[in-house]
Amino acid sequence: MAAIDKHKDMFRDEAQELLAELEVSLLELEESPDDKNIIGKVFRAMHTIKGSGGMFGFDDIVAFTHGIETAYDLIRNGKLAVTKDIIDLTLRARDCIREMLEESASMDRKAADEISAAFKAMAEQDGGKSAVKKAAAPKKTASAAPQEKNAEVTYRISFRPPKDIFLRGIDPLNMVRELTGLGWGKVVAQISDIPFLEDFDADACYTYWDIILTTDKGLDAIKDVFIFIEDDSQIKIDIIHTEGDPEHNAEKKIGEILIERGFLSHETLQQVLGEKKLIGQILIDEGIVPREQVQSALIEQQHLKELQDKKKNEDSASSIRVSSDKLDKLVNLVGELVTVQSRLSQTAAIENNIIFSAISEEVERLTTDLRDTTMNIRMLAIGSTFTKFRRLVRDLSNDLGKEIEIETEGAETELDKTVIEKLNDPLVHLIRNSIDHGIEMPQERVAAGKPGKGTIHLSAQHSGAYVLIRIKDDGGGLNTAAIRAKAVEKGLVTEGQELSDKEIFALILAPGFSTAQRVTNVSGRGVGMDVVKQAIDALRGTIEIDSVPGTGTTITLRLPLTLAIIDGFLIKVGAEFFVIPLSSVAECMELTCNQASQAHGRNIVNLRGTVVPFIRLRDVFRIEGESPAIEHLVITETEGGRIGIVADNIIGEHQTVIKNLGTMYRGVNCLSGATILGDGTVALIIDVQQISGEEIRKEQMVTRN
Amino acid sequence: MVNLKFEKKGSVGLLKLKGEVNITEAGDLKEALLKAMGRADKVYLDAAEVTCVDISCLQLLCSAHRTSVRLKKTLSWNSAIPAAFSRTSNEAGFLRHVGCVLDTEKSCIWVMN
Repeated sequence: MAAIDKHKDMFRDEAQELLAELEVSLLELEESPDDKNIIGKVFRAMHTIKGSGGMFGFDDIVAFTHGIETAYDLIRNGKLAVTKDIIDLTLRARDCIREMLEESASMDRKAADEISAAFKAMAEQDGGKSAVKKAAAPKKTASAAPQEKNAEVTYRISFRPPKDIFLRGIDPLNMVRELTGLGWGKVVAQISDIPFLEDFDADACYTYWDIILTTDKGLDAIKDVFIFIEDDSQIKIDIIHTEGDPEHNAEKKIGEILIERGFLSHETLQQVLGEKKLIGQILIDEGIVPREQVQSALIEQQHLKELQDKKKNEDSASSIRVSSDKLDKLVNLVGELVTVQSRLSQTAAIENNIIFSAISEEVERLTTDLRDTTMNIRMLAIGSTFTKFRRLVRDLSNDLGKEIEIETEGAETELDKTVIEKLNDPLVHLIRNSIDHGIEMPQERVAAGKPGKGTIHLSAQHSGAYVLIRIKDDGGGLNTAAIRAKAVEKGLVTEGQELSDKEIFALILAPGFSTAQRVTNVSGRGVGMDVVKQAIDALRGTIEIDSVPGTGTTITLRLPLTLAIIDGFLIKVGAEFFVIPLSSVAECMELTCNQASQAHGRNIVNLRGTVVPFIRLRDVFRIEGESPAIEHLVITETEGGRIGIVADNIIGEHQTVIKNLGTMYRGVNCLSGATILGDGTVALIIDVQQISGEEIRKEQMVTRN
Repeated sequence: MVNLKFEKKGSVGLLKLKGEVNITEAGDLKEALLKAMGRADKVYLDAAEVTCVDISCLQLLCSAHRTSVRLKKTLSWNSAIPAAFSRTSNEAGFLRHVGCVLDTEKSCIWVMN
C-alpha cells in the first residue's frame, strides 16, 4: 500500500507541474489561437494527465479529462477553432483537475459536470468522428527502473496465445502486465476473431495482442515472459526503434509501419498515396488493410512520437526531483554544522595550536562552501510565481471589465524557496489592488489620453543580499489627499501635520486603512495592505511605495535572499552577544566619551560632517554595568538612512544560523531571531530596520513632549 | 463468484452483475446474456458492483455486443464504463476510440465516452 501511495504522490507532483504548464500554455494560446505547437502542448498535457491518472486510480480525472482531450484533438485537427470560451472552460477544467488531484472535499462537482457536458457537446459537434488517441498505457514505474542503463529499444510484439490458455490456468492479462512492467508500452487487443455469442466457447481465448514496448531490459527479458507457452503461441517480436541508432527513425509514417507489419506492399502504398486522402482512411475504405490493423499501427506511430518527445524532454532536463523536506533537513544539518564549526574555531583560537588552527580554518572554509552550496540548492527562480499571476490578472480584469496585460521581468531571479512560498499571498494582494484601485476603466483611460489597455509590470532583481520585487502599474496613482483625510479620520495623523509624499503613502500600510469608495470581491475591505506589511516584515523585508497621480504606482518589496543562514556581524555589550546582519553594516568607528558628550545628551554623532543618530543596546535591553571609555559604533544602513549601534566590543564576522524565537517573544519587534554561538551562548539577532524605527519614534515622542 | 440478475420492463432489460466475473463464471454469463437478448430488445448492463474481471469476460461481452448489432438489438452499459471494467479493459488494450469493423451502429462498449 505504501508503495502505491508513493507512486500516487509522484503522480500528483508530476500532474501539478503539468497543470502549471497547462495554465501557461492556455494563456499563450489565448494570445496565439492558431499556434499548433501550443495546441499540441495542451493536448499532450491532458493526454498525459488522463493516461497516468488512470494508472493510479484517479478514475474521476480520467473520465473528466477525456472530453477535454477529445475537444483539443478536434482543435488540433483543425475541426474546432480556439475561442475565448474554450480557453475559459479549459482553465476552469484545469482548476477542477487540481481539486480532483488533491481529492478536495470542497470540490465543486456541479461545476465539473457542467464543464464535462460543455466539452462533450463540443466533441459531438464533430459527430464523434475524431480519432482520439488511446489512453496512455502504464509508464515505467520506480520498481522497474533499470538496474543497468542499457540502450532503450522499442519492440513490436505480436502475441497470439493458444486458444486453450484459460484451461491451462494461465491468465494472458498477467503476461501483458508483465510485458508492460518491463518498460513503457501501449497495448492493443485484437478482437477480430471473437465470434458471435452462439458460437462463443466461454473457455476459449479469441483475443490476441499487439504490444509496443520501449524497454532497456533486452530481448531475453521479453522472451522470458512467454517461456511457458512459447511452443503453442504465435509470438513475433520486431525491433522498431533503438535509442541512438540512426537506422531506426522514430518518426514513421503509417504506411511504413503497415509495410513493416506485412499488411501492405510498397506498390499499393504508392498507388494509394496518389489519392491525396488520409492514408489510413483510404486503406480501410478500399479494404486493403483491416481497420483494427490500421488502428494498431496508429497507436504504434503515436508511441514512437511520444518516445521521441520523451527523449527530447530527458535531454533538456538534467535535474532530479528532491523532496523539499529533505532539503529542509539538509539546511538544518548544515546549520548545526556551522554552529559546531564556530565552536571548533573558538576552541582552536584558545588552544593556540598551529596545527589545530590550520585544521579549523580548513573546516571553516569547507563549511562556508557547503553552506553556500546548500543554500543555493534551495534557491528557486521567482518565474513560477510570476506565471501564476498571469491567470490572476486575466480573470480579475475580465471580472471587472478592464483590459490589463501583465509584463514580467527578471523571472530568472532566484530566492530562497521559503521566501518564495511566503511571498505569494502578499503579491496577490498587491496585484489585486493594482487591478481594482490602480488601473482605471478603459474609457477613463482613453479620456485621460492613455491607452485603453492598462499594464502591470512585475519585476525582480538582485541587490546585494536582497531581492527587489517591483509591482508597477500605469493606473491613476494614489490619491494623497484622500489618504491624508482618511488618516486624519482614523487618528493616525493630526490635521495640520506636515508629511512627505512617502510618509503619506506609508499610511496605507496601517491596519484597516482603505480609501475605496466601494467594497468589491477583489479589494477595498481595508484588510490587505497591513496584512501585506506583516507578511513582508515576517520575511525581514521592507515595502516602499512610490506614486505619481495619473501616471501610476510602484510598490517595491525588498526581501532577503534567504531566511536560514546569514552572514552576521557579532558584537558584545556587557556579557551579552548580538548579531547584526552583515548586509546592513556599512562601517565601524570608535565612540569616545568625548564625542558622546558633544551631543549634549542626544544620541547623535558627527560622521564626516553628517549627523548620524545612534542606539545604545545597553539602554534598549537594560544591560547592567558601565560602558567602557571607548565604545564601538557600528554604522548600519536602513530605509530611513544611516544609524549607529553602540557596542562594547566588536567580535567580527559570524556565520549565523537563524533560530526562531519562541512565541513569548512574538511582540518583540526589534529582534529577528537568535543564534547559538560556538560555546553554546545565545546571541540575539538585531532587526536593524525595526530597532531604528522604534528608537526614532521614541525620540519623536520625547521631542513632541 | 458472480451474482447475475435480470429485470425486464417492456422491451428494455437490465442485467445486473455483482462480484467477481472470471473464467469460471464465463459460461453462466454467456447463458445470461443470450437469455437477456432473447427477452429484450434493449439490454443494459449494470456492473457497478463488479469487483474484478478477466479477459474471458471482456471478450464475452464483446461477442455479446457484436451479436446484438447483428440482431438489430442494443447492448450497452447503463452508465459510464464501470470501474473494474475500465481498469482491466485499459490494461488489456480493449479500450478504444473507434469501434471494430462490426460496430456499424457505433455503439461499441469499449469506446471511451
